[in-house]
Amino acid sequence: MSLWVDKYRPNSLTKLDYHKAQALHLKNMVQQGDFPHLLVYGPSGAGKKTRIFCLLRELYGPGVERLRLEHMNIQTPSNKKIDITTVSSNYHLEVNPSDAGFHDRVVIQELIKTVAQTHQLDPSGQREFKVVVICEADCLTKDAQHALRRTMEKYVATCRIILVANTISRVIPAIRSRCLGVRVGAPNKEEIINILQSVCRKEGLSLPNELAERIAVQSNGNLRRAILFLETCKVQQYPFQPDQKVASHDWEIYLKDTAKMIVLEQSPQKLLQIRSRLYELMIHGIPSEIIFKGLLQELVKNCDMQLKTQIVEKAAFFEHRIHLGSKPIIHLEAFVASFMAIYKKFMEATVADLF
Amino acid sequence: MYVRLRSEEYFEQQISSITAQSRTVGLLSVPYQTLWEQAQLYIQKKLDQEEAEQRSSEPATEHTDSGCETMSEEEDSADLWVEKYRPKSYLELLSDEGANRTLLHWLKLWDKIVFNRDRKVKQKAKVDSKNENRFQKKLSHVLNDGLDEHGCPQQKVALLCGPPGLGKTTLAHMVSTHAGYNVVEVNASDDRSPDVFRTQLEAATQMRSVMGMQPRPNCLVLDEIDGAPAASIDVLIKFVLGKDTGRGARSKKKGRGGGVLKRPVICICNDVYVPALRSLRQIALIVQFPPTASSRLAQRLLEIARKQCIRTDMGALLALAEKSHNDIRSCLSVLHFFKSRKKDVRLVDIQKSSIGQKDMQKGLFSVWQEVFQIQRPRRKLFSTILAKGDDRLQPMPDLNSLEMKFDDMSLASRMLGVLKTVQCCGDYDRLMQGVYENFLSMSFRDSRLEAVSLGLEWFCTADMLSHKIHATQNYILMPYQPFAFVMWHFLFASFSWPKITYPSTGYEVIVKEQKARQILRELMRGMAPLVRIHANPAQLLFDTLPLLLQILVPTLRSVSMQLYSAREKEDLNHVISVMIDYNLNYVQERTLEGNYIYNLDPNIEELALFPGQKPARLLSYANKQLISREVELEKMRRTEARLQTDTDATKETSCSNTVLPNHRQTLQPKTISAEMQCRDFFGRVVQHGKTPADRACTDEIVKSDIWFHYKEGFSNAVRRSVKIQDLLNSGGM
Repeated sequence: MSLWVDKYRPNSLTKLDYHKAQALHLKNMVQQGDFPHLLVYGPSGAGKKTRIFCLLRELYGPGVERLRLEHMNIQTPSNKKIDITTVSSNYHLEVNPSDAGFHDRVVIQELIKTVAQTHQLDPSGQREFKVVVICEADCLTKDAQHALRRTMEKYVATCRIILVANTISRVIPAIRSRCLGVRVGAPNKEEIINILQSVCRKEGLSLPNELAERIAVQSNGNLRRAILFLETCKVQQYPFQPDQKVASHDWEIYLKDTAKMIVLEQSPQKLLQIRSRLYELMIHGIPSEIIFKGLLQELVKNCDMQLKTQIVEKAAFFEHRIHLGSKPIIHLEAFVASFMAIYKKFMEATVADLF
Repeated sequence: MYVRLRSEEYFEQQISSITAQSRTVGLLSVPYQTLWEQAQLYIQKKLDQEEAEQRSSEPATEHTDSGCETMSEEEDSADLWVEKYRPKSYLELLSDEGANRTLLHWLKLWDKIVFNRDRKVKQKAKVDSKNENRFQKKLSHVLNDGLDEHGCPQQKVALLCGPPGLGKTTLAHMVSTHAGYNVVEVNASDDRSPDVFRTQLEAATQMRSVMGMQPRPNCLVLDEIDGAPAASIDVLIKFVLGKDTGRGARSKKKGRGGGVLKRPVICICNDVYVPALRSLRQIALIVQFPPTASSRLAQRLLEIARKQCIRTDMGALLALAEKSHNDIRSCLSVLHFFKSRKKDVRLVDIQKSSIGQKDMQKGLFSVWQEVFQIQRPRRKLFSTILAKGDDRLQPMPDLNSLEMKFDDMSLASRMLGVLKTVQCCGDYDRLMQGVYENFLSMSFRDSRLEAVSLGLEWFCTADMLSHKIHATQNYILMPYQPFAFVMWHFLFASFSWPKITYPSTGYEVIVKEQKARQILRELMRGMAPLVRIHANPAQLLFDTLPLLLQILVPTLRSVSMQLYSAREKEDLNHVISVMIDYNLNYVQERTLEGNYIYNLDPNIEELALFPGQKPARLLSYANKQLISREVELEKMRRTEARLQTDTDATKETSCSNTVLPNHRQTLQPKTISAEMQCRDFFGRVVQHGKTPADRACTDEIVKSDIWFHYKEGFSNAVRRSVKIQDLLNSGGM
């Protein structure tokens, strides 16, 4: 527990720094000793998991913190063996079924059902239900989600399910209606600055407000990122300078460079280079949506309004198509090529106008 | 003096027996006598032919008579002509000379281990004609000439590949008999499940036939291997590389002292790029079969036609060869067919007949070539034979062009041509990948990048189609796929010869992605549970790992740890605890240059760093070493502490109930107050004041049953007095 992100994570609902009203609601809800299935959603780095963990602690006491890793082997109907790692305490179980790829349905069926079916042997010492936390619920396949809906109803007496998702648009309505939705929004700039300052205070460091503000802006509402930035800054240079450079992610730099290359020159050979760079990004596990977004943000920077609309339209078109196809690289490259074509035409037109 | 008298018959007998023996070792592949007979026959035949030709120049009525006569005589043999006119010796082979020689050369390399005779090193290579040299040069870059430590060739398997009907199987059989092997063939009609396959392999390569006249060593020919299941091919590869650890095989191997493949294995396939053959491709000698020269094929066809008394001419046969894409088998079938209809074979017949219109599967490369190259307008093919001579010199795709009728290069014909080729190949996904990875390096004029963007939109469409087909099993969409290739052809094709590489990038990317995922999984597996529950793979990749790399690099001086300032110590401790949380450590690895470096394990640098980017700061080797050690120590300390707390916890519980249960009670050792002994500088016991009383003591000791006496350089320090009767007793026992 030594990365600041982990070290200064609040561990009770009362200690949370923002969305305090919501925290109070959660506390009240749990005080009854019971709660419905939850669907906690919000952007990455907003503190969904932290909030859930605080909730569990509120419910079961500090025993929740005695965690252990367990590896489970599950066999699919097609005799493929899947290795799933779960983190569990005596009171709850956390699993990420998306680790199993498109076999996640089996994980839901086998693992969660067995947990849900077993009753507590000694209900006097604890609650009569266990909690199952399912991470990345929005990445579950439709099959898995359908497998979940009956389980949720049937075993409600012995098990509560907390789904964690970034967005609920990919969660089927049947599941959404069975859960109490809890939205954890990203903290705003002031909140992030406050938290950064309090972290520094606990570490015994002094943080200039300008730097805190710049970190908060760069983190884009992602608290985890903000604290990591802060720690990186500390490692790089201490005492802090107000105009200190905030380190950014390598992949972001790489993406920006790629966009610059696209604007600089438009030719098939360049496209070939761009392709290898895009491949590189994908090898490093950056999903295509993020690449698309990053590219677009950089590319439209030096375009006028009319061009912007065209390009954004193209981007939307190809981004949609990514989901219809199976090879993201082709669609990314198609977007780059069409941008090149539009941009080149535009440049030629402006040059012609000049003379 | 005695002279042995023998009859003349005896001498004749002797001579005949010697010649019979010499059959096996003779320099000629065919014994002299048969050769002589053959020559006689040949001369006879030639005479007959001349006669026949003379006759054929005579009025046609006469000729038909004689034709009928021979035909009726031929009808008896129901053999297919393919069987009947199969080449009987190496020299008769029709296939490309280069391929033949490469295979034969490779097979001869086995002589060392199979027949235990050294390879003759060619000395007259220099004297040889230019042709020979060229061949040598060509050969050398395909075939690795050297032998390994067992005396086997470097490449233990030969892989013949080429379109059907070029005589691959014939070549394999011919060459291996020529080199003195007994051919064992396994083809698609046999059971090729891994287990059966293994037994077959072992049987063929480790045993030899005892029955039969001449026990020859086996040569295994695996026909149609591209259809075999991947598992069987894995068995083959493991077997070839000598690391087969299959059931049953192990025990045999031990007796043989390491299973080394000692017999040549020839594999034959049509499509070398079948995924199952991927790993075999890397270890095998690949002999590509170029199509047989049409003139050579036509020559042979003419010979056969002459033998069968079919009236035909060179032009017609050339057209036939051309039309069937030099498929010997189909040419012979057509001739047979014409013969059975008792018709002459003329150019018009060939053009009208519907042969050669079959689904000709082309190799991937030729399909790509056709997509990227605009065919030059062709001359009328069948007008004269003279024109043919030139035509042979033109590049391959010309010979393979599909639509004979379209000699112009109108868009319609180009479209039909590409469409047909692509449809015949059928492997749309792979074809698309190939076009995708090659089209940007083609030379087409597109200054505004409109063609490229349009082409890429078509790629998107094709991708969507194939995804839809695979996801929903909706094969009704399949016919629309080839049209994308037509579009690409129109957009990217040019007249120049396209340089095409096999698309491997897509596969490599997949492999690398899997590796990255594996590293991530490894990292996740060992993370501290409390940290882990707040991390998921995507977050780790985006946010944590890139910054973690920078956080793990504090400014540390390269001095001993004792000299660190308080702040540096704090930094170091911080780094160590972070590394333990995230299951990281430095491991020593040896680079290719031979020096040692410390790398992170799991290597998250691979995950977070991009090519061309350097980490902002680096730790020195000494620092990494220090951290690595401290991490290990800290881990040990923590487990110890945990054990301690566990025992404490149990102790607490035990304290609560005053009476210990029996099994928990332990004996408390009593402290014995020993007399302090004086020791000198070296730690020896100093004995002061040796009194006679003490001496008396030692005497008493000597008198007892066991005594101790120190003797320098003598080992049996403990002595015991034994009575002889004890010895006897023990002996009697």
